[in-house]
Amino acid sequence: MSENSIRDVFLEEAKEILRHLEADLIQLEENPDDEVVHRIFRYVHTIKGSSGIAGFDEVYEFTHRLENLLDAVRNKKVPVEKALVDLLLESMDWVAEAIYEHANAERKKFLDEKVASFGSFSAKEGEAVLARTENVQAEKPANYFLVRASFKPTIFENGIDPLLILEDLVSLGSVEHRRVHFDKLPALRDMDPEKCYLEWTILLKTFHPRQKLDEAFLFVKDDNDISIEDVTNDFTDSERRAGGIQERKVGEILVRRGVITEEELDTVLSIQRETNKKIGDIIVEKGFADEKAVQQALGDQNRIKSRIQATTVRVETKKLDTLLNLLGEIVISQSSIARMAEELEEEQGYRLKNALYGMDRITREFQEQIMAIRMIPIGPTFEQFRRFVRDVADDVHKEIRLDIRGSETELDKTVIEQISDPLKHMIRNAIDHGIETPQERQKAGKKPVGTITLNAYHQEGNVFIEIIDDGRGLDRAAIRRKAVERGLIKGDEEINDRQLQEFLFMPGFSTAEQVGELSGRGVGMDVVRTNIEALRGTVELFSEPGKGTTIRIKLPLTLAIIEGMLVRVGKNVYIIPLLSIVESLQPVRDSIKTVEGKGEVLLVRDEYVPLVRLYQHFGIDSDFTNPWEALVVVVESGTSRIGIMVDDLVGQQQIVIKSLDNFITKSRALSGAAIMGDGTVALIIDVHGMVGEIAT
Amino acid sequence: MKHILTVDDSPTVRTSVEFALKGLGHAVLHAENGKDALEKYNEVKNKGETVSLCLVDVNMPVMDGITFVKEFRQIDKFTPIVMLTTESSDAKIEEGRQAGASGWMVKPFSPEELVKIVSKFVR
Repeated sequence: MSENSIRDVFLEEAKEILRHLEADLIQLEENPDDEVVHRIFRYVHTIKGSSGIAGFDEVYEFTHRLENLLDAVRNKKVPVEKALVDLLLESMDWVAEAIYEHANAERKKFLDEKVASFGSFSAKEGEAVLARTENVQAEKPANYFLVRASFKPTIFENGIDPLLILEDLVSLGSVEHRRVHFDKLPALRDMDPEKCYLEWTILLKTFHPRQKLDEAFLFVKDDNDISIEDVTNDFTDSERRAGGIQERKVGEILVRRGVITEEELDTVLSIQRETNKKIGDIIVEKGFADEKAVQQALGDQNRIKSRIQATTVRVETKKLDTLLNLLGEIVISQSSIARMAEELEEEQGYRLKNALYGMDRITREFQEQIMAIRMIPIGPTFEQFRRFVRDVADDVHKEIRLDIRGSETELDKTVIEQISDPLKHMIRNAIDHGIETPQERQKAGKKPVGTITLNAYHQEGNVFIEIIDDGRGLDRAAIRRKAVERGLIKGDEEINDRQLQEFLFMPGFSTAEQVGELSGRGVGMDVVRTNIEALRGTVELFSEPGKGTTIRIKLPLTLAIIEGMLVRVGKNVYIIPLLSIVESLQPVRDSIKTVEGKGEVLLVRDEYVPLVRLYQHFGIDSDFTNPWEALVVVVESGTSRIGIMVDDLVGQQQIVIKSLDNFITKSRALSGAAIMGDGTVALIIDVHGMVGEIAT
Repeated sequence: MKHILTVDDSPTVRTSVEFALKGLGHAVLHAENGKDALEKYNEVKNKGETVSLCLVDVNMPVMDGITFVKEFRQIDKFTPIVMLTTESSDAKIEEGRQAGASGWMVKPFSPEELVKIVSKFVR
């Protein structure tokens, strides 16, 4: 593992931690319980440790100070208040910047001073003594003590349990290395269970002064053989310097920790010069120390490495995509075998088909598993909005609580990446237009603090995401006025729910103008809908005056594979996503009409839907030109329906989508292509796009 | 049931011990002197329960703390005994250690200090 990969691991680790940290900081302000404070402390502590190892010295230095401040917060010497949370958030921003962009020195100085001022504040408040020890800590990151404890055999007879003393000692810091000396342990038959035979050597890393360690041995240090040696200097230098894992150092560390002797190391080094083996291996071979001790000697450097290796394997998403693509190819090959099976003689064909069914089951499961790898929980995406809601609410002088539900709901990684922006826009809308000011809320008999709820859940192969606010709801009258103004409806016409949604999602139908208080930000709900439809999802909006608004996004579980209906037009096969299909029918002659300005329409269940003759749309030949001879597939996008005229339905199949490059087609009506079992290519109809094309 | 035995002729000390150790999950038993303490200890034992720790004053009427420790060690080698006293001379501490005391704590004490010491001996 090179220095660079340690850095990469750190970058990944830090990203995760910073995200958690942000959420927790917001929570700290809302609900400052000890658990949260402790978690925040731990996160900062982890960043400190890792940044030092990864070579981010400035981050290390800064987080170290921050850690001290947080320690004071943890010990209730510094109160949790808004100013503190602000400072911590700012600090976190700086850390993120320093890690991912560049360390802004001026900003750091500014924050350093602020952090320090919080520290001194605590000193003024009382407990000057404790604040002073903090300052000592600030200069000295950690102390290392080598503790040798050899208790007298009769220790138990004084009512003293060495184990409790050792536990006490360990609670002061972290055990970097531990060695139990078994030398005095007699054979089992000679052992007196009332006697203590063991001795311990412990290397303790602690922020406490030596005095604390002495206290742990308070009652035993006089008549037992206890030695405490300060070996801090042996460690801090190397810890600071350590940029990567250096093979040569393992030996030195082991010597320093008393695991092997100086002479033994010399022997090892001379062997190493001759054989060019790894030092650790030589030490183990020679029996100077066991493998465990060598591993432990890698200490901090190794810890990050092993932690990550043990729990997860980080894989590029591209590799998963490739895997999925390959699986797609398998599915295709499989269907071509299935076609061959159809052509075979009865008995043989039957057997082959049976075998294929079995294989089909496995590939399906295989596919589900790969999809599961691509699925990640939406929690972190939701959490990142805590900060956003807090900041924006502050800006507009509103009090808003963000309620997050269904964090564990999993979505395709690609979807998660692309859903963030639309979500942000909708949350922004809810803050700006949905939630009222505290005064307005109180006047309306509501709690002054508004709530925005982000909710996610799975239902019937789809993922639903809801943005719910308990604000004022949509202003129907204003929307109606606007619609009349733009000539969308007549002056005396009422608008129904479906129209209401349609208007809101129209380009240029700015929500800002409805309430007339905040200017639009250039991105409207129409963009939100486009983004979501690009993910093959839909948006719905429900609103109740005075009670709030709910926006519900429905997304497919995955983007790569769909259930498709194969339809035939002339010699061409097209695929219509099954999810979009409402019904298929053969129309009667009377149900088809031509309406001025709208073109051909078809009466389906008392509703007129535009009719699209696919052969006309794509300019190809077809078997039928009369709709009453052909079939019509009624599809739905959002709240609009259209009827697609085709020659025949071929069948239903799982389709692996291959995207089409922009230079192949400009048509919005196609979303991609799929390779069929017989090797031919079928184009996939993008229902949302086609509805859009028809509308314009 | 686990007990902590506080042995002191001053009810104030015993009560403050009981108060300080509230929450450690032990019942605190009071004894006025060494003799009383041995009786209380036997009562507990006879009920099949255990004494986890004794906190014992040195200077008491009837039976003093050092004598109590010596007597106690005759019947129980392993239960920790912490002396809780105003005595702080090395000689006295050594005497206590020889008798079989596990720890020595000088009065007056704060509740936190007491909890800290006690938790070195019992979980």
